[in-house]
Amino acid sequence: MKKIAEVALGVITGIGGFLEVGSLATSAQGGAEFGFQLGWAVLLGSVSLMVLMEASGRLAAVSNRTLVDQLRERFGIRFFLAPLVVGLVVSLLVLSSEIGGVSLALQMATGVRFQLWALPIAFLAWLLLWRGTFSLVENGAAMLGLVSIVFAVGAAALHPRWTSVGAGLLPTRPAHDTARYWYLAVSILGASISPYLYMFYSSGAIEDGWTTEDLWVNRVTSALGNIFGGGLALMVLVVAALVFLPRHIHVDAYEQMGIILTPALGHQGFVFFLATLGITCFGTTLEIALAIAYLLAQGLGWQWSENMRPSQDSRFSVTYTAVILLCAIPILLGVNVLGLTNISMVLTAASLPVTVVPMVVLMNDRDVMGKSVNGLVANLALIALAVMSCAILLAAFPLQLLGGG
Amino acid sequence: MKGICLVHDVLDAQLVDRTRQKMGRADGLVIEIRDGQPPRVAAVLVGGSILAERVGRWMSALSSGVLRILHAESAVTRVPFERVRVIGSCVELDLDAGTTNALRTEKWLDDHVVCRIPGGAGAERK
Repeated sequence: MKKIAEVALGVITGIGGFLEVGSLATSAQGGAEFGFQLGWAVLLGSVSLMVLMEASGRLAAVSNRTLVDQLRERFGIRFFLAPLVVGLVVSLLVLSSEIGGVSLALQMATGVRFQLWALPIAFLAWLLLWRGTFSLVENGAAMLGLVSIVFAVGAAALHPRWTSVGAGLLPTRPAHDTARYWYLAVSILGASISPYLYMFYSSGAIEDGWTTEDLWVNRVTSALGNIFGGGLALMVLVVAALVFLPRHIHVDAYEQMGIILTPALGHQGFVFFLATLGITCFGTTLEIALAIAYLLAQGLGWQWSENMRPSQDSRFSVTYTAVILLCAIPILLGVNVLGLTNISMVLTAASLPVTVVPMVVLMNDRDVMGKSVNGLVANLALIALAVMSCAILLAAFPLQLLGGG
Repeated sequence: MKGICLVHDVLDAQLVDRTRQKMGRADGLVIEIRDGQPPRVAAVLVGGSILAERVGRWMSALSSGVLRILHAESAVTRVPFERVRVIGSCVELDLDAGTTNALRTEKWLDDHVVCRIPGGAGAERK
């Protein structure tokens, strides 16, 4: 019974935790500019994250070590420096974007400029991490994040042609703006497959004390969570395609996204959009701040656990305190949040090889994985992902120049 | 007797003391060269400057520069290899981490930052 509750909670985490500022922005931009045509990128992103979460959860449950531990221990400090630095830079940018997302939601709700919200949000996030436990962060954020189901309600209310939505799940060549199309595809992939997500997931497996008995919980959680979570991101794209595309509205700022649910749900749609943006970004703020502290603490061998008093793991606690404050500064200074989000998502996509390629090695190492090494299907999926991540790395920067404008 | 591979099993491994307190990673190893006798593993080193040296000269120079600006000294903990008890998923040492330099920064942050913020202090879990 306890295991079933764990799975249910995991699925809720997937649904409530999947949508955040990056997925919302990139899916909405994709739908607004290319209709249902970029649905395949959302699908590919969800399936890829499913593969990586399952692998990193299995790695943690079997070896009792997180992905970051293994990256340092098996590949040494010279290699580890790459995922450490790249992971830190990308996660700091995404954390700033998330704080920006909450600030903008509050600006749209209250009329008070978003810059003024940055520090109160940072303080509240820090306070919850300082006083709260891992399950409070993980489950609290996910439960509240269920508000994002409103996008499925909105999509259903707009009566899309589901056959056309289905057709978008297969990649096709765009009729116009090829560079922009591929730029948005890479951004959507970056928003879905953030390294912080599977690093956080493997740390969570250790925080929750997973063992080999939890492997099926891991499999079901990563599969169902991502199916439902990815489904919601697809619904954002569908709603944007039906609301913005016919009106020729390009999403150039979050404020424009405020009306995305209004045609389907009236004024309540506006309220629900703000709630979704604010709550999901706030939940992700907590998770990324922890993920950054996990990355440093595990990489350098410090004491770490969100369930310990800050005094017992002071370097870990001071790290998340400092990064939340640091990442609130660009928002306080009034940076363009959507621009920051877009750059963060492309950089996230470009950062994938430094964690995905070594995972192919780790998941096939019997010293680490014992009997739970990758099978043929898991290997093919992981190798395909590694190749895709390298192709994205090569394409990301030219696409940022050609299609990012 | 089962042999160990120093680089594979010890270098970069998580170090824990006898109470399972994490106290850093095996950032370096000291091999003692003795006249007329085989080399011997003398110690495990923990410390940022050792790590920086392994990354490369540029990192070492950068690390020394930062320490100079902060007027701080590099704290390297040298643990005699005889103290190694278990080599497994972690390397367990027969010592109390609190008596070494490895937790110097942890303690400093605890005393000067964490304990001054409400809710920070306490030995029990949250």
